[in-house]
Amino acid sequence: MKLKRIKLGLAAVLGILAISRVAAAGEAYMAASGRPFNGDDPAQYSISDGTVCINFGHTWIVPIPIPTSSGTVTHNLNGNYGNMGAVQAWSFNPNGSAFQGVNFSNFNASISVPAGGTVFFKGIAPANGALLACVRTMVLVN
Amino acid sequence: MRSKTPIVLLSLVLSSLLTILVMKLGGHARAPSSNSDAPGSAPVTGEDDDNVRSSVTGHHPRSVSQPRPPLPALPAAPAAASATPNPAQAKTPEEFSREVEEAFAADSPADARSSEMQAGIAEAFRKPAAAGAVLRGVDCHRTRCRLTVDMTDEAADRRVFSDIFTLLASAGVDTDKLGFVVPTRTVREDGSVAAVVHLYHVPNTI
Repeated sequence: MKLKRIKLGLAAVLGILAISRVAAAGEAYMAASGRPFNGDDPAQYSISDGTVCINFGHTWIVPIPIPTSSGTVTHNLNGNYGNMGAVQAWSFNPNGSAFQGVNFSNFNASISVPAGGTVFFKGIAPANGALLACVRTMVLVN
Repeated sequence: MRSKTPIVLLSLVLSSLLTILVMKLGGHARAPSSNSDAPGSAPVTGEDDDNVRSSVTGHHPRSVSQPRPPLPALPAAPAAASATPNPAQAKTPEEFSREVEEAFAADSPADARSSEMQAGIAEAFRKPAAAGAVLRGVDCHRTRCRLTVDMTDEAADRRVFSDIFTLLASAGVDTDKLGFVVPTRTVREDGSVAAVVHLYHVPNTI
């Protein structure tokens, strides 16, 4: 009888664990979920698995889904990319006007987003050069 | 017959403790996973890039010399307890604007580079690319500048600010690690827009 009660208790523990929401450290977005910037020619980009490589002088954006908020919230982004000319995070007001734009520093950026606003990552390949500019992931750290 | 209550209570306490433990371990364990292909793992090599270039689009980016060096290793993303910011961190537009203004006021006094920056900003807004926007005032401290800008309409607002880094760079402003924020923007009855803009250099925020 006692063993049965212990089993019942363990089953309860496992049940609670199964329905518990484990806190996430962040959400990663693959570069391929983005698109060429401003109607650019898709031929200037190559996509394979989770990596997007960009021809010189072209720009790739990756929209970053963020939780809606009743006010302005600051988010942190971390990027996995290489050989880019410039990498920026941009946030926008609900009417589409720019709220904030910031260049990444050491693969990180902090961006504030107004209520109902949106965010995208913007990867700009160098105007010219010998190395291929590629973007892999963008992480919404928090 | 003995009561079942102690065992049920013990089970509940145990389950709570285990849940907390698993949540903590889960948070730590997942933090580095966001950059799992960065430090300490295989970087994208020239071969990988070749695979990339021959797939999906069928188009090849401009040829580049081979072999390419690997892409730079990345630092780990800062650990975070949750992907969802605390709603308490949400600020009203007034609170946010006040914080930005306070940060500007607290910045160190201007130096020679601030004057160069100020001159560069003024020159940028005189360029054709800034058509529709008039710089009413600019004041630079050591790491931050405050601008007041009038724009003919919202279209000019979007056009000028969507390319603000290019505009500033064209006037010699160093845009490396530069950020901008528009904490205050007013659309007047005639459709023109008045904006207060702050420029700052990372690692400063807002």
